[in-house]
Amino acid sequence: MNVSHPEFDILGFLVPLTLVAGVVGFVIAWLIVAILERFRLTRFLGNVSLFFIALSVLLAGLTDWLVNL
Amino acid sequence: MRQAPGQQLQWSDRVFVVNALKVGLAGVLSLFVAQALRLQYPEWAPFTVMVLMMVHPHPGSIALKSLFRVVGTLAGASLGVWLVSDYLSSPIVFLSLTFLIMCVASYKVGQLSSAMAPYAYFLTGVTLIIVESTAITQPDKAWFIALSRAEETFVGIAAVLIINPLFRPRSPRLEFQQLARSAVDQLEQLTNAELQHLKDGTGFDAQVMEGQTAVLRKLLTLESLLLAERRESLYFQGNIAILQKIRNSIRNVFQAVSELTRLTLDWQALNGRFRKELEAAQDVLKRGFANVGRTSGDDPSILETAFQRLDDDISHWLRAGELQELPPDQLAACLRCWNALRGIQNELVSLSDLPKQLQCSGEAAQLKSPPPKTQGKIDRRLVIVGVKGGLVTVVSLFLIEWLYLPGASFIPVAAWLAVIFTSYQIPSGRPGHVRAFRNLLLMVLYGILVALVLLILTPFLSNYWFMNLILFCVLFAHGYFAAKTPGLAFWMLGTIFLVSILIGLNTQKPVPFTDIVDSCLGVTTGFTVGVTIARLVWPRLPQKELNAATARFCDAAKLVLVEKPGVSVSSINSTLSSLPMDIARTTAVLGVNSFLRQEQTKWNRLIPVLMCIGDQLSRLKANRGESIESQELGPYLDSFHQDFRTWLEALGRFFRRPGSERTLPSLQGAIDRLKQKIAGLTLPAPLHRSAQVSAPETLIEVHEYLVVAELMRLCGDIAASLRLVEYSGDYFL
Repeated sequence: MNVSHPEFDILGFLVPLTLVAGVVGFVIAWLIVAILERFRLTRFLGNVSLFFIALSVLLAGLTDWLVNL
Repeated sequence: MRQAPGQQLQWSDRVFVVNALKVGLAGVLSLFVAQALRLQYPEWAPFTVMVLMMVHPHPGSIALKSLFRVVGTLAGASLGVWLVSDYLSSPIVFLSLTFLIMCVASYKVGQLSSAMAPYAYFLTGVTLIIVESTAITQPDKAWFIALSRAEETFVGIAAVLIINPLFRPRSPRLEFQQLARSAVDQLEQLTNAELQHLKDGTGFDAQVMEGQTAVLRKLLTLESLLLAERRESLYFQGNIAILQKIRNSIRNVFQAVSELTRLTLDWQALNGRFRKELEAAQDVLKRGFANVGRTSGDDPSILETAFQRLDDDISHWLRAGELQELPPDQLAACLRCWNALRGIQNELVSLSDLPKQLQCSGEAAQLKSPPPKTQGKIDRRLVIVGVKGGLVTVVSLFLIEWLYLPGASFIPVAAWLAVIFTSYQIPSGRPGHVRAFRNLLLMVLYGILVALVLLILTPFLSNYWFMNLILFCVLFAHGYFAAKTPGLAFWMLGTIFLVSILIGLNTQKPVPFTDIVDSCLGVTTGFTVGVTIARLVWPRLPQKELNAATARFCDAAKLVLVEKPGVSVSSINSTLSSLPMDIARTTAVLGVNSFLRQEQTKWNRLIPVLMCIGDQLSRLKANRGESIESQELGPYLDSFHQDFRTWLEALGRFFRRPGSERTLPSLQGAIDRLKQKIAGLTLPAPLHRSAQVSAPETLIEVHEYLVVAELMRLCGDIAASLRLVEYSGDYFL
């Protein structure tokens, strides 16, 4: 990874770190919601999609921050 | 008339293949004409073809649909030019006006099920978005873009109108007839199974339940077919009254058969004569069922007379007090069983010789079909979709104007269509916003795959014949599977845009890979914006719709029992008859996982009970005037109205707030009182000859109340077994 330009170089194809963090956040949020649904706990949430989007953003930000530490 | 399953499959497959051929040929022809005329955006011509032929049309529908498409396109193009030319420099006015127009268009699309005219609003919306999204970056070309869009739409319409008559039109009558016949066959099997269960003394089994669910699905398909035909086919409208009559008869037979399911009749306790009567009635029904599909069967009047004789015997025994040895609950069960058999027989008479009835178009002129109801009131659910449609347009226009996203011309139209497709899915048999995000993810994967395939194919697409071959194959597959799929699936939307991207690439000159990626990104971004807003803001979820519809049913049922001067009885009856079908339609899409499939089974048991409650309450209302005349019986029966109202109110609350209302008031007291009354009415009958004249009528009247009470108790039991709390919230991304 190039630290001065936060991008992954995959065979010459530059993938921005923010995108990777976004995908990681999205996948973790998806897994969390899937687990909550499995145990039918999402009924306690007013709006699952809002919760999911908020969680994705939060986790993406968190991942981005952790990678840049 | 009767066809083997293999033949039916072959017939329906032929219909799908014909539709696929039509779509393929019309698409290729429209592209040829658009390119021959050197139109600027030829991709919109096959786009028009695909949208026009998304649902396999019936005779007459294409012309009407095309007319509304022309009107809508002209209106949308004019509005687009006006907004872009005059208000692009003042974004607040521009976006506000766009928002308002798109709200109205999205709202009106929701009324497409009852009339064809809202199709023009759909086209107004699509054209406005296309013109705005293309012209927003080049406002000086607004007129040119609007005119091009209109011309390409006309080319698409012309191609469909040329290709469609080349093939034999789809026969709606034959489809209706086959479906109705198959439903009657299944009802015959169910009736025989039920009567066998009664004789064997066994309860109803899973097979009967499956049979009932299958008939219910067929009823729903008949209903959708009628609705679509009423809207689409000019020819079919002439027969609509006969078809409605047939549909109602099948529905009544279904209700009567489901009534047999609920009986707890002790066959051994019945006397030999009554058993013989039931067996004779079963024989008459068997011949009646056989008569439905045949043109040269028994004369229906002979069967009617045979059943009438049996009916007279039962009535005579009741008057003579010969059934008095039966316990009150068994007597009530006997009466219900006989009522159900009578109901089946009456409907079979009206269904006899079904093919001939459907041939008879002269009779249709005499039977006036009521015109479709116009939506006077503003529908809250449609308003929500309207707001979402407007919001999604404004957001996507904002994104392309201020963020310069790639594939800009596709974003707003993809976003708006995603909202419209997902929001109006439930009535067409799809699960609404449930799994919307998962479908979106699948669509993204589909987009990546398409981009890779296009990367390989693009060099070959410069060959005109190869390009048309690929286009034909895609359109053929789309036409085949679209005709097979009920409602509007998300993949159809994806394929429509795939074709637009494919043609829009203009492969006559080298195509940079970024153009392909930009187009795919544009469509994906549009879908993401549309699905996110649609799923985020007041999503339509089947579980919530089910609870709301059942609560509405309770409100309507309560109104039947209330004497209110301003309330129209016919409108309440129509609500009571249509809501169980709405519930059935929503139940059909509930089974997303194994838990909900279990719940779906319970809902499927509940639906026939709700249908019978609605029917029975309407009957009570009709009989009420007569019973009030009786000084003794009127006030006695009126006292049950209060019990029923209280119970319905509690059931309404139970579905409206599943978490708070856990129990329903017991109706056991009312049932016991009614049974005692029945016992009191039957026992003295042979002793007091003077009272015998009115005894059976009184008995039947009291019995009607007992039926309602028992139905309500059963409904309450099923409702209590539902685990509503566990799925009343928001589920399935």
